[in-house]
Amino acid sequence: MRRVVVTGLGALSCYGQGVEALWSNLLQNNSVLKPIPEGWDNYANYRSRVISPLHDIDYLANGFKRYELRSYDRVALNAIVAAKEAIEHAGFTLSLTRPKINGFSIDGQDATRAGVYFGTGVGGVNSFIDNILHHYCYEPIKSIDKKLGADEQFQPLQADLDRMVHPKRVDHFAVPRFMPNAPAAAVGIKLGTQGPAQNFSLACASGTAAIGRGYQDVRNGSVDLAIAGGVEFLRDPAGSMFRGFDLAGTLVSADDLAMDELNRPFDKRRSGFLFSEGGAASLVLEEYEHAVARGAPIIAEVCSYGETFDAHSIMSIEESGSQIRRLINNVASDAGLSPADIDYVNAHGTGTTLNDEIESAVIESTFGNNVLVNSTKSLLGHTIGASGAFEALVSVLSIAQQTTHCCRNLEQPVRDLNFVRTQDNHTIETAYSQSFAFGGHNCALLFARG
Amino acid sequence: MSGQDEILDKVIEIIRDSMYVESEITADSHLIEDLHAESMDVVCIAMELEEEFGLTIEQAEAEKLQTVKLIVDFVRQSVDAGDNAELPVQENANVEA
Repeated sequence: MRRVVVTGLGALSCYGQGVEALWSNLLQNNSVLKPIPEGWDNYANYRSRVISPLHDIDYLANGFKRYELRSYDRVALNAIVAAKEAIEHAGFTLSLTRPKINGFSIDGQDATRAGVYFGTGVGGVNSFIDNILHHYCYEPIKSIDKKLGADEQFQPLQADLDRMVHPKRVDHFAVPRFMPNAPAAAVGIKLGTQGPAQNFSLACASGTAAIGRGYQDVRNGSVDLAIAGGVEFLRDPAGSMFRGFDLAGTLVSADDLAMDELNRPFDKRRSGFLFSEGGAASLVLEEYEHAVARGAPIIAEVCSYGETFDAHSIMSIEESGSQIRRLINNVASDAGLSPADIDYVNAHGTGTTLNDEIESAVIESTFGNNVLVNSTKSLLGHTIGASGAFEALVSVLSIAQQTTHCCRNLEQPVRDLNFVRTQDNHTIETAYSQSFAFGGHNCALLFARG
Repeated sequence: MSGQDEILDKVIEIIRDSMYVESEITADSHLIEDLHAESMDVVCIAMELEEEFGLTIEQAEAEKLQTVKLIVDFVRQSVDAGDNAELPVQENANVEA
């Protein structure tokens, strides 16, 4: 069986561009929070009042051309940003071989032996919303506006018209912008890979699944190089995506806690997850001999990947946790280990009442009480389709640097587990990262020191 | 109101930003024959023109604007005709200024 190693990392997060910004802020226990935009209150009342905003970047300064900004939703642009950082971090040089499309080639890499594997929960939903808003609003509002004219008696209606925000122009690239396969396609076009270019949509487990499937393709010999990751971009002008999660009762909300204290996975006072505007994280996975031959830095090894499915509910985790338990045992045994051998668990750890209750019980009954446990969502919030990729990246860096971040705001743990409470040195030879998703998808990756 | 040269300079800048161009762009340049524009490039240019000059360009119209001079004339006429009335609109989170 071919060995698979991680040789490069890339990220765009609430902290800014780059893995360094991500990792240093995580270790410093920093979160980025802000109240929901004022304009959202024009449309609904919300239980939750806080989000974790995604850091904006200057795409033109990052080498993109205007026509790329036209033809891609930010979800695809952000996937490219993270993937490009990861491939350069892996020691590859990129050459601008197709200037007409501003496209690169990876020097020294057989393009047909390189694949792209990206996960996203909702893809270009921002562009979809824009397109729908223009489609429904533009002509009717123009017509109403004309009929009302300057008649003062109709002025009170103007405020209602102003609430119907919409782009002025139809977007000719609406379809490529919102099609869910765009992130993988965009990365493949930018980097000139010609192996599989696949997108995986398993809601909150999308990033984990994408990395896992990339790992499997390297391991089985389909490709030598997999540029894998997860991406999400959940900004919209009126908060409709946020409202969907808020109505489902999944988001943080508590009257007796300050904004900074609301997001508290695995704590008894938790109330839900922190809505994040998204982000992107990417890992370069490479066949071991391929990496060694080019003198690549080996950050960690991927040992195993597994998936199970609850077959229970489109929204709720199955109460017994039986399929999560089976997932853990499958992933460990595939690597020739038992769960008790594993040093660190990067939990799904959303902060919802049910998830943390069930997940902590399953961790205790499989890994035991000594395994290190944290939740990256306690700092980043929930980046949905990108979350599994961020958590895989954190798992890899925790192995490489023998330390990991704290479980933020954890004061009264839901269970007696070895949660990371202080940012110390830890012995981490093996790291397990799991993700669960609306629909009932459970996915997990296991990493070890390379 | 923009002068003819000012519009020409802006149109050339938009074309250069909207597609890959190796050759010099002049008023006589033909988008397809001289600059090798593809259909996607033409769409991009039309969208940038709409954004820059506050116009609405129908696709059939955009397809006729095959030289820089034709584009400049179209923009000039549209601007003169006041085809840039603004309605309440949102900033599109996806499009960079």
